[in-house]
Amino acid sequence: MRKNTFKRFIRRKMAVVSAFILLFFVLIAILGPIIFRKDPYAIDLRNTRQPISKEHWLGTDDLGRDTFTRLVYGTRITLAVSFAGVFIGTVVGVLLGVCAGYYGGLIDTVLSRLIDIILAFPSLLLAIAVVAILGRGLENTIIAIAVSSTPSVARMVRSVTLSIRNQEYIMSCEISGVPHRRIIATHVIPNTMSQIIVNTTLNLGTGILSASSLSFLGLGVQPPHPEWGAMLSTARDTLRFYPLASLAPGIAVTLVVLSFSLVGDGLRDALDPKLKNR
Amino acid sequence: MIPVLLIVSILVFFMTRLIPGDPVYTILGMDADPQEAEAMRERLGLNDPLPLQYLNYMKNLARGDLGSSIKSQRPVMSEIKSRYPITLKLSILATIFSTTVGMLMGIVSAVNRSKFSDNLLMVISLVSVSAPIFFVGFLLMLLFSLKLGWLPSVGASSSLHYILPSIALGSSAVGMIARTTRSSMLDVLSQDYIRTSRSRGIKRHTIIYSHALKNALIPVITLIGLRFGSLLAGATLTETVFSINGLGRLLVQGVLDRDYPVVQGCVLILAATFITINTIVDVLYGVIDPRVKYE
Repeated sequence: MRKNTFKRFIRRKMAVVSAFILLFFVLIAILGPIIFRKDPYAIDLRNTRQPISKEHWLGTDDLGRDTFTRLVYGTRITLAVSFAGVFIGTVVGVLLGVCAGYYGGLIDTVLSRLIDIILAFPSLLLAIAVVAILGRGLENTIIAIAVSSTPSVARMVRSVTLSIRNQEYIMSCEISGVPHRRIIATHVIPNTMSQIIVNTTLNLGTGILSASSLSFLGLGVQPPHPEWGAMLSTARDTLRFYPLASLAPGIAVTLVVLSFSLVGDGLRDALDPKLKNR
Repeated sequence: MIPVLLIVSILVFFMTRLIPGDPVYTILGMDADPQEAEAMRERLGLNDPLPLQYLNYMKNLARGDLGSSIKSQRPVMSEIKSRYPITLKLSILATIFSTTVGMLMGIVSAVNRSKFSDNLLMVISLVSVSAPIFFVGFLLMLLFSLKLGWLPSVGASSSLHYILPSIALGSSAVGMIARTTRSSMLDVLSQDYIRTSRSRGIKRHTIIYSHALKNALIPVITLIGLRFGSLLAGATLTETVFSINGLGRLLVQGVLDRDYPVVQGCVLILAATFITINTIVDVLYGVIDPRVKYE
């Protein structure tokens, strides 16, 4: 079955290309700072706003910092923040969703209502509210992304759990006295896994958008850290004279978010062929 | 709608109570005078029991009193009043832009299914969903104000100032509306009555724009209603890019200054706005599609 999934995924050219783009960015995030041993914080006031050159592949910014190096280090920060946030959000969301869907009753009613109301809030507003409560900074950006990605995961997992809950093999487990916790761990969660994977992939794209938006507003990762949104925010004042400093991180964000959504779509079609052609 | 608004008000009320540590010291700074802190606590009513605090909060809310800004000491309501119209105008213009362009793209895509124009439009719509609003804003500003000099770049003093921010803000919704319109149109176009109309020799144009489109509208309208909230939230980004003094900017500045009454007020007003819009959209279904009935 896995082989088929892989085959179906390979057939979608756009998704495969996007997967390679993502792999490339992940490699940059891990290895970049080891390969390009320049200081992303080094201020060099004699070489400000340099154009593209051999020395500075993407020129330098207002303070003479090398834009390419900052972009490379920024990849690490941007990806790490959204990966961590979405990971926490997914774990919490899965737990909430499984509890609501499996146990039903009052737990389900309360959790579902709460999820519905939180989902009514735009994710950016939710993230801003979290930052308003906890304050700015890297860790709180991660929490903000986790909070804003939790409800969609919870709702999706709940509905899948509901459909699994009443199937015969679950009932037979219950009758033979398998504890609920074990049923959830060995049957329910593995059966929701494909949806969780698709949802997580799509959420990673949204997570990067939220993280860079927060940082752009000055509420997320703080300058001088080269997070992509924060880089765009600093580049705003020099847009007229030095557009490269904003173009580079902007294109990077767009490319990564686009790739995540294409890979997510590809995975959905590959994991669930029934949904194809919709 | 009313129960949702009530729950939102409770959530917003608890926002300040959720702040780790003592909110008074967060506001005044860690090294504040204890006497001053106690006075502030008394003034903000933080010594009362929680239910009473909420009751007082709601009482003030009913009178249109959102408290005073800690930083500027001005009533939050008057700050919001002067900025709200700007953000609302921006969001409505962005909605109009994204709806027009998105639906046109979707219709053209659906009619030319699997042709080059369809693929091209779908790629454009994917890019528009993925590009951050502020980056689109940068690009527009760079091209139309800084290079070509056609439109003003910052502020909101004339209607010309609204063009670029609305396009930037609306761009994020264009792609989604285009994709939804396309798939909804494809569903409708494959139905029997369309084939019948075609066989009766009715003009292609009439079939697409008056027979098919009407029935394809429902999912699109749902989406537009749902996206309105995101557009309001996205206004924080556009207003920052184009230096517009709207509600979004006020909210962000409030968070930066840890000015909680301002933040609470902005979140409450924004939430009330998109909840109202969603309710209006619910009512609109019935108008557009008589099959939708309400008890």
